[in-house]
Amino acid sequence: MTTRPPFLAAALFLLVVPQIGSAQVPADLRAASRARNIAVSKPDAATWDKLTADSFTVVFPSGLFTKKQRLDQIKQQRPGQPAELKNERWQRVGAAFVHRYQVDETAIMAVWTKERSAWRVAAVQATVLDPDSAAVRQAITTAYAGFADAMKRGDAAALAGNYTSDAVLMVPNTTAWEGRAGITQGFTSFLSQFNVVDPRITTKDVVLAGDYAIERGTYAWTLHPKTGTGPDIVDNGKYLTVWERQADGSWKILRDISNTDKPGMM
Amino acid sequence: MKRAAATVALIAVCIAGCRARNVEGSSAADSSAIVAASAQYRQGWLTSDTALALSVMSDDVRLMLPGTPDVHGRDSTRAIFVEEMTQFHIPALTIHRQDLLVRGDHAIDIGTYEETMVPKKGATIYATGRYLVVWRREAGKWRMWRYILNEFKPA
Repeated sequence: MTTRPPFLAAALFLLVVPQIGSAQVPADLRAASRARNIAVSKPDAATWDKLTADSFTVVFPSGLFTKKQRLDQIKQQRPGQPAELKNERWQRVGAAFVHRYQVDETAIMAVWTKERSAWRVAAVQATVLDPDSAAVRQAITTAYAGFADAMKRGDAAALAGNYTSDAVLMVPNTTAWEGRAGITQGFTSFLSQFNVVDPRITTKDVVLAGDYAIERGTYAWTLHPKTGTGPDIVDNGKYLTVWERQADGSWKILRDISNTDKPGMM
Repeated sequence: MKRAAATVALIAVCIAGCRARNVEGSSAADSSAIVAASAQYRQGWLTSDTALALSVMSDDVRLMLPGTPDVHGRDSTRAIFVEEMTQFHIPALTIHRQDLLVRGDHAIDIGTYEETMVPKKGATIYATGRYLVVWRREAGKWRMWRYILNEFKPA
């Protein structure tokens, strides 16, 4: 009888077992998966315990932990929001299911098995996907801190400095701002009309693709008209931004597109 | 919800007009495969064939449509497509692709669209706007992984 951790066996099967659609995953398993994810974030140690096999092990980059060790960690966690699972994939491996997903820059593989007539996680492996992407994400976060400050002080040149010389910024309802000069002009015009109050830019994910980094995120801001009696415009929305690595290793925006979440503001 | 019908815009027919930089780092085979996948997607919308349109979507697709929060995943996308195709017929669509930037297993596809949307009831809608699609190679096939639209206001 093998003593290999279940995730190793599962990893071998992943090479040959096709992925399945989420509709083919048993409903009670999907519910258990959701409940366990919430249990980690609350934290709800009792639910996590119930949904975790007695022989559970997890391999984090920091090392291997048993169920008891992991349970102790969870009990000491602060409450938070459930992690957003990205790139979710399910595969059936015999009587077990392998659930693969990504949280931020970490790829996670969880093996679900039936134990005492209920779905429980038997093993988890967490792998930092790409240390480089974490570094790029940090560079983007830093750039956005400066971006927000420049918006608040109405500095169009500083904002445009985040873009490449051949960048294209696609703003809704107007022609695209092209090139550094066009983007400077666009921001100058925009900032002559509005004070930007409390701009918040939040990166949701970053994927490296050669010399590009593809970033998805959300924004929120309040626009206060500089003239007239018009009301403040409170807006939030989402964006995709393509960053390009520069010769000096820095990152600048090559393409940028956004839209509002608010109906009627398109 | 005419925005979703504008998903039709994510089709791409021509790459001849793409910016010169697109040639660099691009594989002609990959570009052709993406264009073919786009054409398949387009055909799905023009024939109101949900399955055909969905066939080029990643299971992890994220639709970033104006006026509404993200739609994530195949099931939610199917619901949007079914709703749109039930409400509208799309007899005409013109795409102007401006960028097709292929890097490894990802590609960035950018352009503008003009489309005609004929509702079951009510006046025909003429919509224009921009799109950016991120394609991802999955098991050797190019799949739409992210896409976002922004619209131009009607004149």
